[in-house]
Amino acid sequence: MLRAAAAGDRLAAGHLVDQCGPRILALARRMLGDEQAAEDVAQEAFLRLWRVAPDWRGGEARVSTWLHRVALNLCYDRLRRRREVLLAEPPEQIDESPDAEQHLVEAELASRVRAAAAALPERQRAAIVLCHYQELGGAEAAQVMGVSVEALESLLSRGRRALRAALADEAPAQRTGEGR
Amino acid sequence: MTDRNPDDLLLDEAVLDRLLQAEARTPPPPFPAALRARILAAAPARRALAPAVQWMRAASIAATLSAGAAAGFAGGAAAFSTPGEQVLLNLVLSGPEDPFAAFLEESSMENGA
Repeated sequence: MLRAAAAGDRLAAGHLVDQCGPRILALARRMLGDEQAAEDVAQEAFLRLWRVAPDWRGGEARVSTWLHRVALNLCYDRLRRRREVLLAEPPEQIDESPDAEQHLVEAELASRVRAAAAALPERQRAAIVLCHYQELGGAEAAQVMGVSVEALESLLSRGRRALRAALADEAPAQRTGEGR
Repeated sequence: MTDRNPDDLLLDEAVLDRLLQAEARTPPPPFPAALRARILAAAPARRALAPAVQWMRAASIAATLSAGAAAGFAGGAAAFSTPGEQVLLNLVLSGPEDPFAAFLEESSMENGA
């Protein structure tokens, strides 16, 4: 498909964007916590893909893995530049369903988890985002981060421990929720 | 006073997994159409052939056409059976400046004019 896109096939290019774009944007959103910056990263990652597309050697790396890696490095660059962590806040959506209150509770909880993840050191956050949210396998996530699988597991473990500490006060709420 | 295990102060692993899963289930905002359009606007366009490739293609087409014409001409020549037609054909093939005039001259000589 990338070869077709490189040859100017707009349909193939559109299909690639539809297939990989949302996941790359999600990765950038979770890493940066800033919608505009995340869009810029996703766009830049695809522009770089278009540039290498004519010389792409199929089978060398999956396009999705390559895009994840480029996007993650772009996120690191931005995080290093601004040296601050912003929290990702999804746009408010009016929920008129009967379960609105439950959704609100879940959204609040999700927001706290995002905040805790956003406060992690960037490499631990990347490991959590790639493995838990992007649903990459260990080997692929390690490839994206440019580390060994063992190093990835260590980052994951430290990240999870930090999250458990940050969210420790969520435990009673969780137990209350279970009792409902 | 008993020492507390530091892990007792941490959120349970299973609870963390549930929280992460719940957060992951929160639907993300849709992929912005404007971003999609910007990305596609930068996608490679159909590339024009390089000049060298264009020349090679032109030469290949010319060779094909001339081969076809030669084959057609040879086939046509075999179909010419009358002496007059053969003369005309020979004159054309030998490339005189005005083959038709040469044909008329040849004919008039044959007819004893």
